[in-house]
Amino acid sequence: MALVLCLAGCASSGYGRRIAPAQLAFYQGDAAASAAILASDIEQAGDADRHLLGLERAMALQAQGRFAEAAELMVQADQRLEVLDYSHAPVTALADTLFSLRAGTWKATPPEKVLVNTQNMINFLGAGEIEEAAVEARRVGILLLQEDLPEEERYANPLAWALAGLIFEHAGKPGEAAEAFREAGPTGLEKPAAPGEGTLLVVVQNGRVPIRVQAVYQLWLGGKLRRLQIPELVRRTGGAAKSPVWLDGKPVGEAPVLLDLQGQALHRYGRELPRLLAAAVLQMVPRAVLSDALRRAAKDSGQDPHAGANALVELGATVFEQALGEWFPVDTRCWSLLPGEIRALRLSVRPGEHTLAVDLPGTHVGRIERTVTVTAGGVSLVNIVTALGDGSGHRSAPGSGNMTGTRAGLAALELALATREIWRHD
Amino acid sequence: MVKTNHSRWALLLITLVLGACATSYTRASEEPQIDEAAMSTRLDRVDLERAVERWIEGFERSQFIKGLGGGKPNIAILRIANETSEHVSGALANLLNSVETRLVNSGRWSVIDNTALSRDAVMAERLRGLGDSVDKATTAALGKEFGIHYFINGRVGDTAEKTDDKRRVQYYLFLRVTDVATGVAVYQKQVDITKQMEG
Repeated sequence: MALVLCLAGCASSGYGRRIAPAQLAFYQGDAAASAAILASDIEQAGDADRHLLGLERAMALQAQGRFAEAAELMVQADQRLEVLDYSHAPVTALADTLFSLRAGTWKATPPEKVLVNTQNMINFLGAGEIEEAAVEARRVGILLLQEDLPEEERYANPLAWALAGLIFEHAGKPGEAAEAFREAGPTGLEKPAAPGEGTLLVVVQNGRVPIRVQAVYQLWLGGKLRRLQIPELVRRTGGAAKSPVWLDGKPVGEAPVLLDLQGQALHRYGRELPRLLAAAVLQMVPRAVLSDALRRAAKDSGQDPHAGANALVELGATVFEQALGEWFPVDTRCWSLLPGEIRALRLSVRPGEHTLAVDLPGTHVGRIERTVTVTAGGVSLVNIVTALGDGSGHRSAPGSGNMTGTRAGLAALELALATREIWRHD
Repeated sequence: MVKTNHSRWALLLITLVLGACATSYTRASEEPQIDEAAMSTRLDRVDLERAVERWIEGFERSQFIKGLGGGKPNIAILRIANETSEHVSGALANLLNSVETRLVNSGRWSVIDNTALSRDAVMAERLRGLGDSVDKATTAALGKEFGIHYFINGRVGDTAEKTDDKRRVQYYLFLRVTDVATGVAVYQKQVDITKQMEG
């Protein structure tokens, strides 16, 4: 029997449906409405989603410049955050987390955990609370150095190190600052303000981080249609190709990318995929066993089985197996209001009021202008979020196209080939 | 009869469900041990009380106190800086108030309220970035503008380590008393506190 692999579609999880109105408001440019929707969601949510919704709301507050409130929410979430590394966790733990009958407490991935502290450095800088920002800088340092992060990821976050360096410098900790800047490598954030001037830090949070959606694969195995569902990571559109910065009408440089969240997430997903598929197979087996039991029971009870009745039994068992999958979808919860990448530029500026503009070609907003006050020896932050007002947040669903050639599709095909024999002998 | 049994079972089930969902509250004055349990790796009231107790105890027994003459010199606590990886600024503000209270109650000092220093914009800005050492200009201003004879300043630092299932934070509280007239440290002591979270 030939093996057939095709994609049936994707489904929104309960969390996906819950977050959609807040996402829509955010991407349509109304961060205040997004924050208000999320505040109401948090009140109604159980413990399982509360901290993730808190992080989403913190991003909506941060985009409005309500840094102190955003920081408080992130501190609360950080204290209770559970972490699960999809690329290293045992398959049974993954299956338990992603495919359990009842959604448990959301578990952040290690990069998401690092981002809580990275974003909170931005929040406390924006709020002018340098001592609290330094706390976050120390926390991020501990995570990056002591967490079980692979070597290449440990140093793939120059933004966190560079922000930490800038914060320690302004907190009067030159030793810690030098150490953090050394870990960051050359980013441009290590250049101090000229004597008598202040620092203007321009942060551009560009695009949207990839998110997880449920991908459903139909596998023709041992003469029966089997449903395999996994959390697929999908990129999202939007963002500016570059972001030149203007100060008081003069070009002063371009903010370089210091953290490529999208690239890192997709790279990491490649490592996670074999385990995710193995966990998905673990979840597929009970559904298959149940539908096969239904098949056998129906056939055993028939006195005079004929072709038409057999076809009906087959159809019923297949529908039953599909329905089980629909009832118990994959856990696709993730921190969705994060940007796809973060750029940062440090400027030495004379004290006083200045007009800062950032060109964002390719986005709906086009150009953002802000008035900012700089003090001698101080640090002022301008935080630009390009996704705010950059459209509806449409994502390309894996169900909408041919999966042939995609990483998940190819991996699922390999897995199906490997497991075909199991079903053949069943 | 059957109906009655069903009603009983239903009542029992409702009681069990409601009982399982009910939230309970406890008053520490009735169950003092609830104050003892550590709930996080941050500093709690018990940590602060023990830290203050140990520092004050050492201070009271120090050569400096023994050599202090009569009268009630003016003293102020400037700032206890947070140099940890935990958001404990609120706890440190309580620690500062706690040390102030102990000094007032000792009857040996006239304590200049820390908030009086914070109300002065220039002094508040000076104190904001204060680390271990206090510059001469600030020391002079403390004596001249506020009549302070001695001041206390310090910091809380930590060493935090994390493995897969454990996070341990070792705090050290360092407080120093300085004579405004000479700028010399007359007493200093470090108090250590360790907290660990598992699971």
